Amino acid sequence: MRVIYDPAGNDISTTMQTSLQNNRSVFMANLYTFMHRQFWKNDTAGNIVIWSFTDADIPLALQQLQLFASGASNPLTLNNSHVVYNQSSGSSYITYSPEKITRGKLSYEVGLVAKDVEVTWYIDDTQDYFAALSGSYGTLQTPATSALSMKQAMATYRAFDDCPFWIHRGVFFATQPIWDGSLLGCFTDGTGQIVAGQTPFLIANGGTFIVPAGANQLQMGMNDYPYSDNSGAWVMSVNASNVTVNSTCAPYVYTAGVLNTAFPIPSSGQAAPVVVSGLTAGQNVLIQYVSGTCGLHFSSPPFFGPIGAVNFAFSGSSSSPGQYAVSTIPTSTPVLEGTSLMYRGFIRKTSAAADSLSITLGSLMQILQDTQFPTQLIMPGNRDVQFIPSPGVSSAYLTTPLTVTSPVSVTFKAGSTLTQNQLQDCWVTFQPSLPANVWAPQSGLPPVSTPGWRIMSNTAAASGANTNVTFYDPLIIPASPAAVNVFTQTSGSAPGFNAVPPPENSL
Amino acid sequence: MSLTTNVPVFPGFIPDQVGGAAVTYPVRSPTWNIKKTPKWNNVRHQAVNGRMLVVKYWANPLWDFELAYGYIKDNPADQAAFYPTPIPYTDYQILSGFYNGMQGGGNEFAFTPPDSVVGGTFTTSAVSGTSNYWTIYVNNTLSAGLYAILSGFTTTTWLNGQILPIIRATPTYIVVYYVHANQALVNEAAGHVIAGQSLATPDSNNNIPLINTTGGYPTLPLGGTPTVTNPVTEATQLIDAASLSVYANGTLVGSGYTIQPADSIAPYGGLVLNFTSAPSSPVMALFNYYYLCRFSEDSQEFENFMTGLWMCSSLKFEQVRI
Repeated sequence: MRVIYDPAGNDISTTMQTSLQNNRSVFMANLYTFMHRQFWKNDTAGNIVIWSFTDADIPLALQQLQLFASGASNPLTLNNSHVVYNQSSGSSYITYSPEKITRGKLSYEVGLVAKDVEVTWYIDDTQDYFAALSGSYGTLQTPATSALSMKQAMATYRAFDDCPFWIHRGVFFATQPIWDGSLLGCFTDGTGQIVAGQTPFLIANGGTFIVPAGANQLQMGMNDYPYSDNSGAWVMSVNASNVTVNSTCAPYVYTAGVLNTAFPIPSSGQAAPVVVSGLTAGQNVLIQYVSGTCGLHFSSPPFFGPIGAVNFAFSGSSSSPGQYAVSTIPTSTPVLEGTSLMYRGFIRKTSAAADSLSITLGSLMQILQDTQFPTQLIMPGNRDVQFIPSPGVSSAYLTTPLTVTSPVSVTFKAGSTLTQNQLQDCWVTFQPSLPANVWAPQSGLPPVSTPGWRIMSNTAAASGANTNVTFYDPLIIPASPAAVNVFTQTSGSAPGFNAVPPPENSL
Repeated sequence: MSLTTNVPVFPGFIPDQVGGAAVTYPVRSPTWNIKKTPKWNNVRHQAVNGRMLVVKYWANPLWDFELAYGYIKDNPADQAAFYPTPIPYTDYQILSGFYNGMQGGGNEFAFTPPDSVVGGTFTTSAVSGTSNYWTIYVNNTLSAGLYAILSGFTTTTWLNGQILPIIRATPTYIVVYYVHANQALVNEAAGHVIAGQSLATPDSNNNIPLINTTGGYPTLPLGGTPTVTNPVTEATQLIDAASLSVYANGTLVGSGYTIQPADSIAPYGGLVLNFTSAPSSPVMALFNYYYLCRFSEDSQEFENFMTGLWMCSSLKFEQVRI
């Protein structure tokens, strides 16, 4: 069964099932996530970049989602937290920006069947997607541009091939969520006992509520735990009379074994609820927000109205009264309730049209099918397996300064004596020199070796002399790269062909 | 005028629309009927027994507009006087030129609807109250649907600090509804009104979405009487940044906030005001808003029915997402 995680990483599958059964309409959207090494600037930290887009017409923000086989995780902690991402909604959240993205139909089959998915992105060629994530960057050495087109990077330079890609389905609250710090109410009898069959309910900015049988008063208070560090108050209008609700007021009094025993909350400095008495069953109670803001932690922001602290945990902590509350207020702004992983794979192929970019996603099952497991590799001179999990890398063969002579040709300084075509079919990256363990594949992360540019030929050169290197494909070189890494079969030995890092080594 | 996005502005308005800050440089002579069509995107999943689950994909509608021009002047000697700097084009040349300048549906432009008015701050000349309705005399035309913050009243002090929707508006007065024990037959010499768009309280990151109220409806309990109205709002795509004034609890906020680009901050579609610290509630904003649009069709018929006069029976354009 698919698991639905809320933006904080809690498994809400059960409550979501109930919600889907009870609500006759639901708001949904797709979320698209892919990750890559930051290659368009000299990134000394080896950051990965999280690209996050949605086909919703509003941006979305979250902290956790399912990336791997099970469980939710915080993408911002990947790669030892060396992560670049869209933080326009706050540094703690990944923001998914609305983009013109559609996807093909998702289909599933039992067995070893690979099901590719086509993602079509009607991309804005005039938009600088890279600078938005990493700040301004200097003119690249090649291509000679200050703003690399995303379409060019993907389709022409194939810089995103083999990167991991996720598709999630986002589901939204049908009613106003019960944030921490929101205004709750409950109908009680004269003793403060919540009447039978009733629970606390969300008031937020107000609405019309009907007094149930057995109740003669309305109690109001904040949803929180603990209460002792709250500040501020709201002025609410209840049937045209203003009342002040202090942020330390709980919506009801709990006394173990005596009062409201079905809704236990610990003592945490809460004051008595605000009570509006003299009500009769069946009466409409009109509640409206008038003024005032409250805060959760003494006099520190955020300060907010009766809706509560947006994006804070939905019912506050498990000790707060919000865990028992219900919400019947339709949302005016769709708020993300949870995400479910729909597809996980990698970018297999990209192609560009005049107005769009087509991305073919290969499933993980495809890796299983396409990857060969040779028992013996027939090659002259050695019997090594072709694919090794951790290719050796050295910055000693090619060094800077470099000169770009054509889109596929670069003149380097030879770091050691090179014979003609000695580096043929080796791969080059322009990442900085990193510890060897960083080059090893890391589950879920894009390969450190992507984008890699494959060498077609090189001229012979003595150590320190110029060697002209020609690549199979045009390559992207950032301004002033700190190192030129050549992937070899084994670190320290003469470089050779079968040092090719398999593209799926990150998955 | 400075828009938050630099796009051309449609040189048109609708019949009966009066001049004012919201009206820029119009082509004269639009006629009835005009059409304004909201569109939503919902997918219906219906079971064999008729029960239905609806999946909603949009948080904000997209609008289709259709204007008609009974006659469009093409007389160089009779150019529109709306322009502070005369331009050497007739109305027909402006309208057809704008259409061709946009290359049909090729380019995007901004369209300001007739209700895009900023509101303003006013000193009232008198206030009278009968029953629960308060008539506040201001010498300006305001739109019903805007909100009014009231202050400066010495007799009806309970009105001070109230933020109330404007129920009726004429060129000389507005009417608001407020229930108070001393409601009947009270007259007030003068007070102050700030009229504009009521905004939400800030979220935990001090963001307030810049919304536009498109209407509202009463809450009708089953078998009951309406007790509260539910305003219906939409995200604002473009505004004239120079027209923006923000009031926090009735006080003009001159700085301490920025306009964040549309669709950049979750979960708000449209523009967002980001404050360095939470402003006092209630927060009200005065601004002109615009829809980002494209012409719906790549061909457009202009009919020359008399010397110097053209007509255009249907000019269609539609809102697009940012």
